[in-house]
Amino acid sequence: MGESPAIQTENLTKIYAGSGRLTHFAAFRKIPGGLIAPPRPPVHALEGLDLRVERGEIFGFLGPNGAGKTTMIRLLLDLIRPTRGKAAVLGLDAQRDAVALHRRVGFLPSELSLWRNQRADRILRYVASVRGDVPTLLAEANRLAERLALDTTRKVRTYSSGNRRKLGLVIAMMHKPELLILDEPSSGLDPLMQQTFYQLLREARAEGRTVFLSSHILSEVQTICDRVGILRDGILRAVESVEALTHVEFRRIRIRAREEIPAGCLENVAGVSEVRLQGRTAELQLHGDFDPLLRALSNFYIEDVRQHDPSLEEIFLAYYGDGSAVEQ
Amino acid sequence: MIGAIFRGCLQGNARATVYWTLAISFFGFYAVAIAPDYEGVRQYATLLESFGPISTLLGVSAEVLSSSSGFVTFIYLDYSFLYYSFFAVIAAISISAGEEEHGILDWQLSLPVPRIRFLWERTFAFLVIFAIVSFVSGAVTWFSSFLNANVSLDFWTILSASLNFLPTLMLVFAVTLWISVVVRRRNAAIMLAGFFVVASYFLNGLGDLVGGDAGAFLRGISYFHHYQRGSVLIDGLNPANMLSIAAVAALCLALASLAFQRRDIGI
Ligand SMILES: Nc1ncnc2c1ncn2[C@@H]1O[C@H](COP(=O)(O)OP(=O)(O)OP(=O)(O)O)[C@@H](O)[C@H]1O
Ligand SMILES: [Mg+2]
Repeated sequence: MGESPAIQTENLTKIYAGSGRLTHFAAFRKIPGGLIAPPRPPVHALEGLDLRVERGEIFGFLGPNGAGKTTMIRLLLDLIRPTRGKAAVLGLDAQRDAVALHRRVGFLPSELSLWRNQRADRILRYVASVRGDVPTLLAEANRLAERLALDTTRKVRTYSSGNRRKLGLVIAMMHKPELLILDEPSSGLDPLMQQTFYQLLREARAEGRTVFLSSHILSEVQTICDRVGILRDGILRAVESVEALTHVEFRRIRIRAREEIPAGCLENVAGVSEVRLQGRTAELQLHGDFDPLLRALSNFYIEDVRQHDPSLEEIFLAYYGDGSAVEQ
Repeated sequence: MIGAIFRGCLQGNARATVYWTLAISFFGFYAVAIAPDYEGVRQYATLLESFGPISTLLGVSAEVLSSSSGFVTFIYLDYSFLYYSFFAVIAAISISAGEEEHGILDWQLSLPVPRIRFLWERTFAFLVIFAIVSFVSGAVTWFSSFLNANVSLDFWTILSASLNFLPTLMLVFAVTLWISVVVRRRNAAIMLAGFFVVASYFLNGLGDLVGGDAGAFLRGISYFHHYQRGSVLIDGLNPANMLSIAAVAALCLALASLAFQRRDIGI
């Protein structure tokens, strides 16, 4: 069992049923006032996902809104059931062995709601008593709360959204789970707390535990993850180590000169590609050092140089050359 | 750990328990202490009955109202029970569709507890809460009978009346649970379960009004009829009746569990 991967999915597919079974009947469609909504087609939220996450790594699950990240996480936790395929977590079947699995997994939902009128420490005590060993669990919870600077004697209702998130983290981590499943964990945390949080994750990894987190922030994933999976439109586009990705790092540059930049003058400059000229402005991609580009432009009066970090898509386009991996 | 969800549910609803005990006790107190003039009540009831249908519809009859225990039956056990039914509806919604809609179920069901046990421990917690509310309200009613020389209530009678509440409350609870597990939406579930309660209430009265076989049928499909309001004060508990109501409640709970076990959580 020690050798089984932290997460392994096979052809994992989730199709949410569309709405509007009633609207198949013409008679219902005539009901005025929008009482019966028009039918929604089924949503293919996840398509044939094959993923393997090893033990002891921090795995980032990256994708834009609606990519299917939350769907994947809810499947792993048996909150929803797959249309096809299966998932094994820590060597256990996610559906059949859900209870045994939940003992060893910690979960932070992306939108955490708690009982608003309860004090945080009451909620922690409740979770501890459901999980079992109350004194040990509460001791760890208090330790975590202290590190996250969370006052647990207040009611949830009085918490800011960041504090609520911290409470969710404490709930997810208090039993030192072998696998942490975190859905957009750092959203709402200020930069200082983010650092503390990253530190907690690294400590978990040092203890041989596994972290699976979803995010749509590239920089976050780059900071803490060992590997990244890219999900878009329910399809896993790529899985790469962060190291390999940062290796292809490049910048997108936008230059504005006082006079027109002639075509061809930026061709064959080392590290420059994808040049687009438009009168006095040039947009390009730059790999490696700045120097060759600056030398090539030394004859021009440069008014402005802007650099922006490439989007994830751009990095992956670059990484996979013609983008075949990205465009299916 | 077994029992943790049960205890959590009891603690989380401590305040609600107090409020509902106060509300239900008020009916008993009101019935016993505030309306003592049975001669006046009888005249009023006779007057109502001269209108025929309306009085029958509400289940009022001069005969029932003109004895102290009949009066208590009518006010406390009948009226409070309608309110009480809504308590059961709210309770069942709060632990299922309510929490689901608020996203609380998401992290609760990521705890190492089978879904069915989750539902059952909370159902059991509410059985205990209903028992507490019933017995305390019954005790308040009994104590208030000392305030009024016209009323004589036997302690055991009021105790059995409180016991008689429980199976039917669990039935309303289980039906609501089933509805809310199936329809998921909190408001829709409240609407349907509320309809179930109110329709049952009126069907029972309507059955009295219509009479004959049709009336018996109408009463037969209303849980208010099977609850046997008041007859418990006259004839005592009817264990067979209580057990069969409890059995139907258990069946609804089983159906709710089955639906809950199978489906996706979340909206
Ligand atoms: N219960 C549902 N019924 C129908 N469609 C759903 C349901 N839940 C999610 N979807 C759809 O499935 C797709 C994937 O949603 P999901 O929540 O998994 O995305 P996500 O990657 O977590 O996005 P985000 O970054 O916004 O959280 C979306 O198109 C969404 O609209
Ligand atoms: Mg999401």
